[in-house]
Amino acid sequence: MIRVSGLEAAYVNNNAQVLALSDVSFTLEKGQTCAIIGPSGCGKSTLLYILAGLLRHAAGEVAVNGEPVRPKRKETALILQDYGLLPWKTALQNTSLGLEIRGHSRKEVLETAEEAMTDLGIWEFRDHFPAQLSGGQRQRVAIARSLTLKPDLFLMDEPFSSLDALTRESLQNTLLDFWKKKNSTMVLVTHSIEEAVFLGQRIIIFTAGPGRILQTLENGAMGDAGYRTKPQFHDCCSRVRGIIERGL
Amino acid sequence: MGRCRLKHFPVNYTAAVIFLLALWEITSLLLNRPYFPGPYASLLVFAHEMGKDLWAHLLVSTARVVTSLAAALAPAVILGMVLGREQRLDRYASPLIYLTYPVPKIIFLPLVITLLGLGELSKIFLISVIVFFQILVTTRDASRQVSRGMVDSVLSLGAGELQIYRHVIYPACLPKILTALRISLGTAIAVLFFSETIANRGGIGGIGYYMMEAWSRMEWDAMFAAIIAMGIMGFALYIFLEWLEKRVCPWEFL
Ligand SMILES: Nc1ncnc2c1ncn2[C@@H]1O[C@H](COP(=O)(O)OP(=O)(O)OP(=O)(O)O)[C@@H](O)[C@H]1O
Ligand SMILES: [Mg+2]
Repeated sequence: MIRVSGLEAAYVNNNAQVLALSDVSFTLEKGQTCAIIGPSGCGKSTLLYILAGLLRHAAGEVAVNGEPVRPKRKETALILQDYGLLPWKTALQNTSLGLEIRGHSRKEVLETAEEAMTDLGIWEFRDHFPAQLSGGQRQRVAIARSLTLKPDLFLMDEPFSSLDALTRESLQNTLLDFWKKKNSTMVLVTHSIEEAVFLGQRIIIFTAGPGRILQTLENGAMGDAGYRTKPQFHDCCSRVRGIIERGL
Repeated sequence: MGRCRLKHFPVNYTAAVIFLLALWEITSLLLNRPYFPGPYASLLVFAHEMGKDLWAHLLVSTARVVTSLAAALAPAVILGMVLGREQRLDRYASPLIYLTYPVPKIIFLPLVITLLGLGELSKIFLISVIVFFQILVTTRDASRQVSRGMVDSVLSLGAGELQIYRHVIYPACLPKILTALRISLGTAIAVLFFSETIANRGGIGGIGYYMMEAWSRMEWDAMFAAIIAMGIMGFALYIFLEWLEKRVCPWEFL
């Protein structure tokens, strides 16, 4: 699904090139999930933007579903931490936005949005503006919006980092359910080791910027909501923590 | 701020109106001059003059203000949004705006009259130009401040450039545009008054003309009737813009 090799990305800051990612290579099969974790500023968001086709990379190859990345791939959904929702649109209008932009019929847009919002338990808040929703409800709207697009690739940049622990776990469970049901490919950027271990079949740990891959862990035991209480979960968390601490 | 502007309308506004009327009455009593009638006498004359031809002047003036604002609005908003988003364009436009914005454009009134005559065009042109700059600068700054993340997330839904403007930039700027419009309203009325006193062909020349006529003939009551008319015009338009903001930006008033 995703094939990245020798990826290099740079920003221009005051006419000086700043390397954000260097020599990043990994692949992800269809239907797999992958968590990306690493220190602040190591280029995680940059990588996600490149995978979404919103940012051009300096060198290397990036392919999504066998084709070189390009902007506006229809089946890619991007969920960001705070900015996803438009304050001037109600929950329903926000959810419908993707399909509306793609020119689907009004009826189809409404039906799909209702289905996605009902799935996520936010249909009753359809007429609320984002400012009238809790952080968790807002993030559910953002997820509902990407679900309406029937994506095969989910890209998420710290989607739950501003939520309290309980809301966070319940949304992680929701996400896990969806992944198991739809079998879509997921790339999740996170700062939380527990989240990475709970949701990532593969965990990619980055070095401090310019980001390189420090280590990749396979986390085959993940996959159900009970994983959090199992010893393997805690073992895996400790391993990730150990790698991060040694790597810094 | 701005959140409860209209919420306590009846109580607060009634109190304010009573306070201002009382102030007016007291000033008038203290001054005790024929050229400063109290509110009661003035309102009577206002009603009387409206029955004659003041209403026509009022209508003409209102039409000029509204036309000028409307004419300036669309180009200022469109240009402002584009300049805020396209930094490359803004690099060329910014110096131009900074050099021309602070120049008090009212000084071009004689030139504009010479070029465009004493009719409608000269007044509307001048007001529009002045208001255009105010709205342009506000809109451009608002458009610059739209967060990258918001634009990116809508881009990732597959939006084209026009859809970015429609779904993100325009609504993000809208509250600021309406605020700019409300501030511009005061400027517009001031420029209107000034240009009506200078550029007119007699007849139904607008409130400014009406007032200067009354003043030169020392008809103090009529002059005050004109002041009231202009005050009412400004107030009504202001209230209308506030109402409009509530209608088109409901998310700002949660
Ligand atoms: N628009 C930009 N212009 C210039 N430099 C940038 C820009 N965005 C990011 N950078 C730089 O690129 C590097 C990587 O940024 P990025 O946002 O990808 O980090 P991150 O891993 O997502 O960090 P965090 O965990 O804090 O979100 C940082 O050093 C940052 O300063
Ligand atoms: Mg980031």
